[in-house]
Amino acid sequence: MRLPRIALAGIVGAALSMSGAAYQGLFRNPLADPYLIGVSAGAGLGAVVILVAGAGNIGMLPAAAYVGGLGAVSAAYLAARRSGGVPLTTLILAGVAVSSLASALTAFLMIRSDPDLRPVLSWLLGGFGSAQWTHVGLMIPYLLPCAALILAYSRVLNVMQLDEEHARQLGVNVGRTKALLVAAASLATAAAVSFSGLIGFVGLIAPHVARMLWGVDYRSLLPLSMLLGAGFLILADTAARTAVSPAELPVGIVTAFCGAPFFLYLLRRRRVEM
Amino acid sequence: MLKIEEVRFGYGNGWVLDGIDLSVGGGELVGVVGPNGAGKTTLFRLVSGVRSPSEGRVYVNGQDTASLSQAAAARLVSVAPQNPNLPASFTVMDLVLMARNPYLNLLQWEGRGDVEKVERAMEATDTLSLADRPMRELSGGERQRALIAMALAQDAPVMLLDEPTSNLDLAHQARVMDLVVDLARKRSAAVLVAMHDLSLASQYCDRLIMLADGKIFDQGSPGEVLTAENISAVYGVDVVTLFHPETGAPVVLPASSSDLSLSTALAASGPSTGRG
Repeated sequence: MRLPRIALAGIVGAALSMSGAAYQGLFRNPLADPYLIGVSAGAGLGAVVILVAGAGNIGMLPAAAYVGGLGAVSAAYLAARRSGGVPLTTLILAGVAVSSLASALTAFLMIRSDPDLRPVLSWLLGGFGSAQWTHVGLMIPYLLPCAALILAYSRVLNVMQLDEEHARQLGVNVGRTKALLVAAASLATAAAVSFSGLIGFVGLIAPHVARMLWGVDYRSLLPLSMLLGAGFLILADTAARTAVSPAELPVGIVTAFCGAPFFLYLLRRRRVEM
Repeated sequence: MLKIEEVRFGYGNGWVLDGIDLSVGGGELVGVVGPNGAGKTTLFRLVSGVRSPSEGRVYVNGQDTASLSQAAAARLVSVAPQNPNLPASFTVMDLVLMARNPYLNLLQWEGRGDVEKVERAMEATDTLSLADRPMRELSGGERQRALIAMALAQDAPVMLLDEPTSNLDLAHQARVMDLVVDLARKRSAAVLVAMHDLSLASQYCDRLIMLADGKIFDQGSPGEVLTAENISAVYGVDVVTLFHPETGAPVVLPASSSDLSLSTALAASGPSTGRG
């Protein structure tokens, strides 16, 4: 009975962790996470627009979420970028602002629409309570091409850790690489948000633990992050299901319980290294 | 090997480079000197294809670098930038392996041949023993040698080194410059090196290009270029030039007003040309 739930939690965990690691590498910013830089909230807004409009086809959700997520990350990135990179805290601040705006718009849409929005609300908080094999089946065609693209670029992501001009002098087409990888990471995040709501900090925790265990080479970091993220989210979902049984916590609350202190710890450390 | 023809370039307001003509042959070590803002780093950007000239052409082995893909340009020109940020947790080996990127397609990882080239570059720069050390643990001299190892492993016929001796002590300056001379000779690469230290440039370079306000103010042997008149005109400071007792290359020192007459006398007694 719980198999689709476990499968979906694993896939979503892998997608969010892969996206987090890719954003961290692209922005050369170890605090980047799909939730913290606003992608998740933007994707949530996109999905809510479709839900409120009553275009009840679940297959359309990822596409709408994608538009919202890509819009949010572009806004945060453009607001935060300085010559030579995206400073650590500025990106997070821009992400907070973009997230707040997207959440406010989401709340506004929900208040304005049909009264019974409890399912939408609990979906937004993140959870796998309604997971079905259909969701797994819809998620995979989004995730696989994104994962293939990002993994193919893992060696180039290492070179992207150099200054932008230095990377270009080593033959990297920096503009194209950034555009492709932001698109892929945002699509994977949007698909994850569509089927599980807003789940924060997975994309922050898994890549960091992978770095501590296995080093900074993206060729091992990306697959290892995906494995760790899948495992972590399956565990978090189990905790969400059993902690206050028979009631159930939204899994986003569990990941925030673990992730927010971890984020503060990373922020406290004097030098956050990639 | 490297040919720059009538190149002009600006970032928006006015020319940063204004009509540069230059050619550098294989095995030649050419120093680029001039005050801050004279256009040295911009010249390197154009040669490496990171920027395209507004007017004129840059040819490497007969190919116009502006028309090439980033990877194709990187196979022709390697650069050791000045004081770049380097990812602190990557090891020296990780970093030097990145220099093989222009030869690999997306799905390729470094093969045996790449690793051999990288190891040879690290041997030549005496960084092989540092292979597994993360960048954060390296001293200034070790960092500089790792950067040169990268440029070497990139295996390009034209090499650009931007201030390779900045922030180094005397022993490391000499070591790095000996290495650079060796590279030009053994690999018969065309090597352009931007330098602030005129005396050091004079000791090691075959030829100097003196840039001022985006133009070539003078070029030729160190003895021809590093005259007190040229330096006063370009840097706006009075200097005396002495001459190295063995090589005859000029050594440049700021003139202090009190003993100008003595230094002028000393300078006049030295040989009048530098080494060829």
